[in-house]
Amino acid sequence: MSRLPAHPAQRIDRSRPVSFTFAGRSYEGFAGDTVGSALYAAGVRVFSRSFKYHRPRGLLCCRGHCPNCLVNVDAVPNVRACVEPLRDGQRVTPQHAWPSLEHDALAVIDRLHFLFPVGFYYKTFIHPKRLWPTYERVLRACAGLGRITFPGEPAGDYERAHLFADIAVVGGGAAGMAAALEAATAGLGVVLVDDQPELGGRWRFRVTPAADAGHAGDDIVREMAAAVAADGRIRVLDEATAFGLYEDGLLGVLQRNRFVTLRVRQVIVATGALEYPMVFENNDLPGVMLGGAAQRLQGLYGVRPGQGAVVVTNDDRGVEVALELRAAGVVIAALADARAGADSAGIASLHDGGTTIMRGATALAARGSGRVTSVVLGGLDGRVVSEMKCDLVALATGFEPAAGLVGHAGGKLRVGDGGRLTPGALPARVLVAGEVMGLGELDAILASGRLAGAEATLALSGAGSRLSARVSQLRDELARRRSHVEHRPASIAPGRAAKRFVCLCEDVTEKDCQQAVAEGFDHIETLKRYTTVTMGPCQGKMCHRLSIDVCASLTGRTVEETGTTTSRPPAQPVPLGALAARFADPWKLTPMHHQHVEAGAELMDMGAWKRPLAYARPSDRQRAVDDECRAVHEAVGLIDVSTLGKLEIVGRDAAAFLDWLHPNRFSDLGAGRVRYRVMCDDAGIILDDGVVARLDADRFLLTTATGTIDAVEQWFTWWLAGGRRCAHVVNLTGALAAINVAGPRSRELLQGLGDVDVSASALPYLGARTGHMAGVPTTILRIGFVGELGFEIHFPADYGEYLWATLMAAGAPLGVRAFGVEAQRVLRLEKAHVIVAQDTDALTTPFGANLGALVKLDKPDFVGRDVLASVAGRPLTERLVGFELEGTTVPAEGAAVVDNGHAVGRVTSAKWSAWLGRVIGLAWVPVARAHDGATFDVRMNGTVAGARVALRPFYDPDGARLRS
Amino acid sequence: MRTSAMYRAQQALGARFRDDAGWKVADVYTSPDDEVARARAGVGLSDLSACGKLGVQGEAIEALVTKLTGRPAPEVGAASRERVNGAPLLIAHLAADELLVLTAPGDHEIVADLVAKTADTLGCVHVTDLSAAFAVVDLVGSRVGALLERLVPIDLSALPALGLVQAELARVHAVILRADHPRLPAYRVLVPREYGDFVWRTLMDAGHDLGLTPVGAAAHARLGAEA
Repeated sequence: MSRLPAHPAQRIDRSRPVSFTFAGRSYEGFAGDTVGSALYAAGVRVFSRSFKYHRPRGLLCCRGHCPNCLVNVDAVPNVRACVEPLRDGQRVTPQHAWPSLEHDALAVIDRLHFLFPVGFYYKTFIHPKRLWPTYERVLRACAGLGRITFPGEPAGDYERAHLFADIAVVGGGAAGMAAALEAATAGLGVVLVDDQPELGGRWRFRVTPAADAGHAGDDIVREMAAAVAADGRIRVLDEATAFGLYEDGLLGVLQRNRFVTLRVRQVIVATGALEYPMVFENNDLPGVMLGGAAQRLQGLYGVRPGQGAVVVTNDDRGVEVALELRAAGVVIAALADARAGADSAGIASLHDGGTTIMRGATALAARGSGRVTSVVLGGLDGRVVSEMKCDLVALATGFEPAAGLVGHAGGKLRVGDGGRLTPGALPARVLVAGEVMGLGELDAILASGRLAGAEATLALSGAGSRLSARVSQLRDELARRRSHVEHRPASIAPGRAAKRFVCLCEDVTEKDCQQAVAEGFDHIETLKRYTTVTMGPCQGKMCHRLSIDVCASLTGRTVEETGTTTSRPPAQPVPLGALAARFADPWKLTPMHHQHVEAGAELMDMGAWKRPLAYARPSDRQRAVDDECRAVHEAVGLIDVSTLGKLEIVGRDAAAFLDWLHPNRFSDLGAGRVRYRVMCDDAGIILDDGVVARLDADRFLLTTATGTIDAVEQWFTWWLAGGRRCAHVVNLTGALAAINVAGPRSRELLQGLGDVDVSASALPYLGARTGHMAGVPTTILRIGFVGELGFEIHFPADYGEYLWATLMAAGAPLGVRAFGVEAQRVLRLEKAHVIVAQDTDALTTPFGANLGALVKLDKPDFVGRDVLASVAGRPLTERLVGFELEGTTVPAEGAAVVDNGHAVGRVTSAKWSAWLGRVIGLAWVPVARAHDGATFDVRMNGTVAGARVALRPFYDPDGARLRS
Repeated sequence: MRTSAMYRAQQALGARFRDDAGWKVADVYTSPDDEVARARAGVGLSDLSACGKLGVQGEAIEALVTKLTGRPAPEVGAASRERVNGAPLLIAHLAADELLVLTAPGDHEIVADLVAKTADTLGCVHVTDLSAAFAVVDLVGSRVGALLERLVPIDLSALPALGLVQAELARVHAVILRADHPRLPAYRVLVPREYGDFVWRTLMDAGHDLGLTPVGAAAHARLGAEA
């Protein structure tokens, strides 16, 4: 164990040990540890294998940014160990390595790197062509990071939340907290989003006294965090990453397992700076670590990052890192400072302590097998000066603003003095504060936070003399405290070696970039797309600036001329499970649903509805369907048709309105009568069908197909909008349950159950009556979709269970049987009844679907009339016909109708009818074949079967049973 | 007997039912005392689907409200509590030409008749019985805001007393009415009946860690009567 003595900044509880496993071995850490800190403390240095070359990778950023510590935690892949809280019993497994992390067979790719140049999939694995399937299979097996959770394994459980506030402050460091406190003081509601478990940002582990009154950073931010916690107007979302900023102040936030949409009026981006590595040979070896990471390990978790270190820097931050490491007992072998004239009290102190100070120097290469054992240091001209033994190379060489959210809102990075990037003109509603502005000193950072809070308040509260004065005062304060930040040289060491990594996520080297530029991809955006630099899990946090510097260096352009890539959401990877969080898939149930389930129904999804497909287990489905059809033909069957769309059209102009929307006529429909309806759009294309029942002079009940009700309601409402018709539309789909009672004994079942006379004379075919059935108020329509005597009963849905049970009980002596959707499909096909959108398509007019008789061109006008009038006289090219097929194989819907081997039509519906003893269906065929007895072939599964056209229904062609 | 869309879910939770104006209504789950205490500390979920519901459409709906109640109609996006012929009503003004009138289960027929007769005098105003069209729940309790922010993508905290919005709740279109109890925040939620089972189970699931508890009619009445 390499734990340091306790310190107030540390967040581990040494009295609470935590046990877990990694790669099958048991480890122990403390409560407050991350998986990464506990493993590092236990001596683990290799955490993962790299994406392409399978090189060993260790902790680099300790901030949840880089890809180096991606592991699988309790079956959740691609978890960053460095920020994943340690829990008792956690099972952590390495990923992307076989057979083990230490001995990964695929590491051989590292030696075969010449086969994998940038864009290798276009280049090296394309010959011989016949081997491509093999290449593809192998490459696919090797590609990807982690393994998704499969059915049967524990799934991630994600929640969703919708939050609202006046102001969102993203970033809980010193600037963010100052901004939040300032805005809250003015009475505004603030949500403070921070990706760490505690507020304070990097100041939490800065135990060196800061400029402000000599207090250490961790003391200052601890006091501020207490003030935030005590302020009821500030809501803190900790361990939460704002991954996207969208229009109208919408932030996408992932807080642990919770996907939060946060809508605000102002956003203050105080996300700090991103520390990134530098480019030198073997810069990815475990033991090469960012200075901030080393500080985090020792400051937050009491873990000594190494025994002997070399610190590489180009400004005073590196000196601070070296001093803190030394204070923790790490021997600082050397400080390589790129500044030729670097000098300070800190450097003198290091020198006095035995550290070799190398000015105008940098790291040229790291050496070691699986971990760093030494580093080659030299001048900025590439001249080697010495090789120092060490187990830690701490880099404090590069910072850039974490301005991704500003970019999402449309802001751009501006290249400032010496090539530094800072946010340029800010988008509306967006303010910035702290290190994201390029600030470094705590005093200035705090002042910028207060200013952003005041500016946001001013923007929301309107101009006021007190607020305006406060903003002016804070602007002055910031200008006073803002210090000059010196220019940093580019973080690219001289050298030509192959393994100088620019992008650690995708294993993109400087050489890859060089080759890409040579191939013409010399624009930063094309270089990005070709090499995939910045497109990996870190989303550019480690390599955005490096890619710009490398591109500039290779093309001879300045950073300003090179420009930057575009930042797009998500700024941080988001699990798909979070986006598809719970409650995202509503279902609809009919009132009788639970009775169907109790009766053993196999359910199917029809849109959001759950419907009985057949009343049997799937293995018995065909037999059940045959039995259900027989019951309808011979006795009586009940089917739950509550899912049908139902609209009430009411008003003195209701009939005229229906006339306007349909090709056929309803104004002459008598009260108590039902008429089939087909509805077309402006182009005469069939949209929907169903029936219309006139209940009284100005009240109609209209049914639609299950899946079209929403569109039909919208269509009706649209045509009513702004008009002067006295008509209203009410969607009664859920309000009315519906049962279709069908079969030769259906009248026998219903007669006497209520006060409605259902005799043939009192309720003839296409009649409608209202009354009571078993005490339930009902509307009964004498119609049939399934070809037998039938009654469709509509009634308030709350009586659903009662009436279904009553009908089943009353029908038992008659042989009643519930039937499902599959039997209904067979029965309707026996009658050659059309299902709109299955047997028709986006080009079907009523004429092609044999519904031309419904088009009343003598009406003065209706929707689609002009087009229908123009096509009425034209010859058809194809028609929908019934067919009988030889054999017992049922063709799939969509099967081709073929003529001499050429597809000339398509099957839209086909079923096996046990009652008829043959396969029947509907198909679109050339009009020359659309006559009784014509033959054609249907292709299915590579063979063809002969079919014969039948223009009349297969069952009861004259409709005698339906009308009985 | 009539049963609500959540009847089976309530049965599975061990509800004891009573008859109320032709409905089977969940009366008690554990005990009224226990349910009231749990609702106060967390969230109580009650099924109010048995209430009568009338949809009214037409340009003259404001005149209809005035004729019925003697008072002006509530603003669009708000509701008002009224009493007509002794029957308590909740009149929700959904849109410029659309009202939803909620009644107690036993008052439905009387109110429906009265509203229909009044509408007949006002030209193109139409009344539809929507009693079976909606599943209705009351959410009451100290943590109801935390529950709804998980499920509703709009800011309900800004909703005034008896203010209403039409929004998604767990991706289901809902009418959400702020209907605070005397000492506790509360919302009345109406969703299409066919989604009732889904919404009930989703609320139970989403509110589990907030102490959500089903509340029967007895406890619900007591919560409403608290002063």
